[in-house]
Amino acid sequence: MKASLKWIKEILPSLKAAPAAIEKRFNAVGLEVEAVERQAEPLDGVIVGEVKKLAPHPDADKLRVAAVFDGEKTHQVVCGAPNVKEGQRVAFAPAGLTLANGVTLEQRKIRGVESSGMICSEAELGISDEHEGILVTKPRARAGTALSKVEALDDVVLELGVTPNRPDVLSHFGLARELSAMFGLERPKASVRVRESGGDAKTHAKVSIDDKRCEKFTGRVLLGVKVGPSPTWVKRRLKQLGIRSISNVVDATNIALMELGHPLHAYDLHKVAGQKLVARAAKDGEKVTLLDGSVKTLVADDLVIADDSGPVGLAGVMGGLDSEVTDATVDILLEAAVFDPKSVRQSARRHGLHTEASHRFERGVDTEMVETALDRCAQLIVELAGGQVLKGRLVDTKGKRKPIVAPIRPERASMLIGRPFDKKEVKAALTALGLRAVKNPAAAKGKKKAKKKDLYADALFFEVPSWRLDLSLEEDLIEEVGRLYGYDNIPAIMPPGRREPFTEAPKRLAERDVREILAHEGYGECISLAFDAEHDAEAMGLDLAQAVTLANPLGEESRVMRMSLVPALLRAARLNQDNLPSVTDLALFEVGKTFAWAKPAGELPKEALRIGLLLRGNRAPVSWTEKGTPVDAFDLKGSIEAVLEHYRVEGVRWLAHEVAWLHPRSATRIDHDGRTLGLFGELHPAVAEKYGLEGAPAFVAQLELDAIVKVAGARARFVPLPKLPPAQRDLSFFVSEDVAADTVLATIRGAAGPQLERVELFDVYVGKGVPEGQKSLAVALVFRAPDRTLTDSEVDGAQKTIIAALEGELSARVRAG
Amino acid sequence: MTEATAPTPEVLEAVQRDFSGQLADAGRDVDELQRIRSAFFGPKGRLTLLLKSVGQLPPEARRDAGRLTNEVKRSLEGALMEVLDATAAEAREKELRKGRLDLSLPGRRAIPKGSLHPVTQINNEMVDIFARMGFDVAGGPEVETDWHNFGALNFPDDHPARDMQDTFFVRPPDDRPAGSLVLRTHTSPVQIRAMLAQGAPIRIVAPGRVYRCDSDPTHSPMFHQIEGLWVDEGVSMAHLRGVLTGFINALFGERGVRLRPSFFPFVEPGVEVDLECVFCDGAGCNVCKQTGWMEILGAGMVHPNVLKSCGIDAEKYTGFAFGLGIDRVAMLRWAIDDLAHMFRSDARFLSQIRGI
Repeated sequence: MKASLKWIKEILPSLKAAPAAIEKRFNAVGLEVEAVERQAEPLDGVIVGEVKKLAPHPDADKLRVAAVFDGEKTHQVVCGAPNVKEGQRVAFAPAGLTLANGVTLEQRKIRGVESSGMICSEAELGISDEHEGILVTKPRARAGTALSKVEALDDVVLELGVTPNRPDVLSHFGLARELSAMFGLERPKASVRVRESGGDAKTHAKVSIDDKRCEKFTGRVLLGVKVGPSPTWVKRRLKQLGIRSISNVVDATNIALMELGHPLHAYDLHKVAGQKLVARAAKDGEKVTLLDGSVKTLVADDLVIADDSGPVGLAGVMGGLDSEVTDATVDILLEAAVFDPKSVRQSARRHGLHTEASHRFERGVDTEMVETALDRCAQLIVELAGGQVLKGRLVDTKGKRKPIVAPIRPERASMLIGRPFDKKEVKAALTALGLRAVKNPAAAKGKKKAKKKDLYADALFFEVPSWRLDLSLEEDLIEEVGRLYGYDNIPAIMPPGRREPFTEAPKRLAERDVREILAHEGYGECISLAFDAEHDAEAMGLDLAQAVTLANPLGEESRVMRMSLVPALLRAARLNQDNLPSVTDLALFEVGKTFAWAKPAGELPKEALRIGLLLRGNRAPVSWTEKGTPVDAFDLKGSIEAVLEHYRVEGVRWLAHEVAWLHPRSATRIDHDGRTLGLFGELHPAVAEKYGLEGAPAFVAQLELDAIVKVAGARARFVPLPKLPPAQRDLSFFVSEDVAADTVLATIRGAAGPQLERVELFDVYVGKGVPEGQKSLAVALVFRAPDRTLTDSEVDGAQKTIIAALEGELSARVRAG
Repeated sequence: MTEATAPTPEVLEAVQRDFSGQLADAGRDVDELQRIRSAFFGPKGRLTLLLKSVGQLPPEARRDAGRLTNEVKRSLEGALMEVLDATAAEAREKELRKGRLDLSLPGRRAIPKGSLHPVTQINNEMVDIFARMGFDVAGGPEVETDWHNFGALNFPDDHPARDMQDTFFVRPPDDRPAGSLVLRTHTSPVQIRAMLAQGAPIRIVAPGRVYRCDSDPTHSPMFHQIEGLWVDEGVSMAHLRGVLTGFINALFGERGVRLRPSFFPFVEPGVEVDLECVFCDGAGCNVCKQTGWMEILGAGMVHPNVLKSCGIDAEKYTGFAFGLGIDRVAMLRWAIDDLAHMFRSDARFLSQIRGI
């Protein structure tokens, strides 16, 4: 909310603090100053000019040539304003000055006549919307003085961040009231005496309530007003607050709103059918045309203001176009009411509206301010537009609210804030804020209820004023005491040590470990937005029926919560391909959640913690040592093995598998006892094409971190170092190309017995010298017994058994060994 | 050379003189030095022969002559070896100086440079700081129920407080009403889950991704927060101030911390915490809009309604909670000017933010 310090000081004349001190105080009490506009600043350099002479322009009927005296010398200025006259003191901007609207004035010729500087209108100076004529200032102002000084345009406007719990400061009066407490001044009073005349308002119009969501409905009738433009001070004031001036009557409602915080609406009395207004529930399908010209179809949950012919406004949100005050309006029905915050909020949201009125009603208005605001506005209309206020207010109300009484224990306040407060301090603070000390309401009702130990037996009790809708609990009052004391005065104390036992959070740690492993493996960690398009899920071959879909996505491409980490990695690969056209080397990973509904759906979707990996281009960037070796599926597998080794997962099998997004040549499922730990391989060329990846193939993996952690092996255990020497044998053989390497190794291990300590595959060869359909493998076998040196014949025996198994089970043909 | 005579001192002195002369003449000539070695100490060497002749002396003269000859031999041999060693050392030194490597060439990196995301780095740092203060790490789901995200945190239905957080709604897969599922707008629902599971006393931090449906240069629809919660008997705002000051000092070095009253439905009193600007140290600059302060986190004393939602006795226990944006701290730390970089996966960005 924008607030004028001048206006606040008009309401609270005892406030003498400088703008900077007020700013600081606002911040300290929780009204964050988000911006400060110093009105005089953009007027720097604009001075009072005296129009010494005025002559017609030789070549233009509507222009005149003025001689403007700046106190030292005279400038020749071409001016088009109709209201410029000789002898006037005007707002003069000399050549070279930059105005608030960003225009820099230059000396130039206008229709052949030299013109230096400009005589300005209020709009050109940014101080109001007035653009019809130039600003004419005080007739005795001395030429050359700063305009801002002469016109008293030295206000400071603060943009305050008002949190939704504080509707009571959404007005200049409310801010003045808050500041009075902060600076220890007497609280301002909002009293208005409206001069009534003529007949009784009740004979001209009627207001009534037909729905309990309207708590109070009041009105006043004004006759004989003359609708027209507002005077300068109103225009300037509204402009400062960013409100457009419309007409004196509408401006009066806005001034009253900004002054007292209560929304008001003025109707053209004769456009209100039957001169009767009622607050009632809308009928389903009813239509209303609002002030902004939009036609809204209402639902039964909407609360409306209606006349005999139908709705004339959406209650608490916006008035209707048909009963609007126009230049032809003479008689007015002015409305001020109280509506249910929830109802206003629902209606405003339903119809996509947010107005000054709905903003305040949603947060709650001061029910005791209604009549004051109504009277103030009526008085202001008469002031600005003439006419008379008829006798009496129109009022319908659903009873008076019971004031809220809240307790506060000084010792509880001291404990919670961490600094001792006594009864006197508590009472002084709360009284300054307008709370009233009262007796314990429970005690007043009789002492029968004293069976439970009464925590509040010694508490202080305060009645909360009608404007503080945010106060009802002890903690609320404690906050007020602390706020007034100043949070910066609270000491900083480290609390005593931890009392609860410590626990380990294994999954969180896993997330951290795995990131570090992959960074060490050379991958860059990325974090991508967790949204995908439906076509992303389809490209991954996933079931859209399980997708977690947003009701209000930011766009079509972010409609579903990602079901896989892969699409974002592919988009990243594409982006990097565009950024680095000649280099496709890329190693990325992401650790994050994917989302899917289980079947049947549980309370919440299943969130799986996964690792996505993408590898592309060369193993290491080409340099003077690296000639550029393209990565392949084994590089990716190596990184996966690094993760599995960290978790000491044993018994993993790498199985060929059909995966929609992987190339059939290398698509692999990482299996552990039937459980899938992940999928990886070369990206399917069709998917690469869909994501715009060109050139180097991409290798992609998605691992199930939850599953990997679940099958993690036992912690490492030290095995004493061998004291006896090993015996080593190499073995090379041909075997059919379809026999998987891990089958060969498993066969060797199975046949060898316990003395085979290690078997390492050190060569795989296909080509010259190897029969068609076969491959040549070579393994190193390391034998050792813990307690003795093996004899040659023992080792030979073991090797023979291995050879027999390879030949028998796998039809291998041993070449050497 | 017929010195097969007895090794008298005179003879030995002559040999010595001769040896010294030859050694001096030989200089650093390795071949010549080897020749001298065999001429004096070889099987037919002069001193070898002299030593042999000691045996032919009368027994009473043998001892002295033997000792003297041996002394001379050791001394001469030592001198010769010294020169030989020095010569070899010089030769090796000369050899070593050949073919100096150009180590201005880049080092060999078998593995490309990996990196942790800036958010991860800051997150780890923050978690470690809080761990030093005894906080556990907790987590929770990113798709949440309205109750966990709002209701239990004292956000009334249809209240403008909900507008403080633009919410993404998830379509329920069943007959639950629209609006009953949301993407968590903050990490605060983890407070609720942790308190329901553990009760009081409790001390946790909960880092994680959160979602809000706006997107502009300073807002991303997904970002990261870290939530903190400490509930125990007698916990006060002074403790909140102590912990947050400690945290901020550990993260940014010692600098001013300012508490301003603010409003979040789940705390009462609620505060916003400002940090003395990390760019100008409070002097005022463009980043802090000349105020000298930058808003860094929201906090407050846990609202009694929140404690009650979690079955905790709000009279016996009090506590504080706080939440801050991890991404924003990362941006401050490395002077990252655009939040969008964080989630775009541009390798040129990711590889920059590494090391200390």
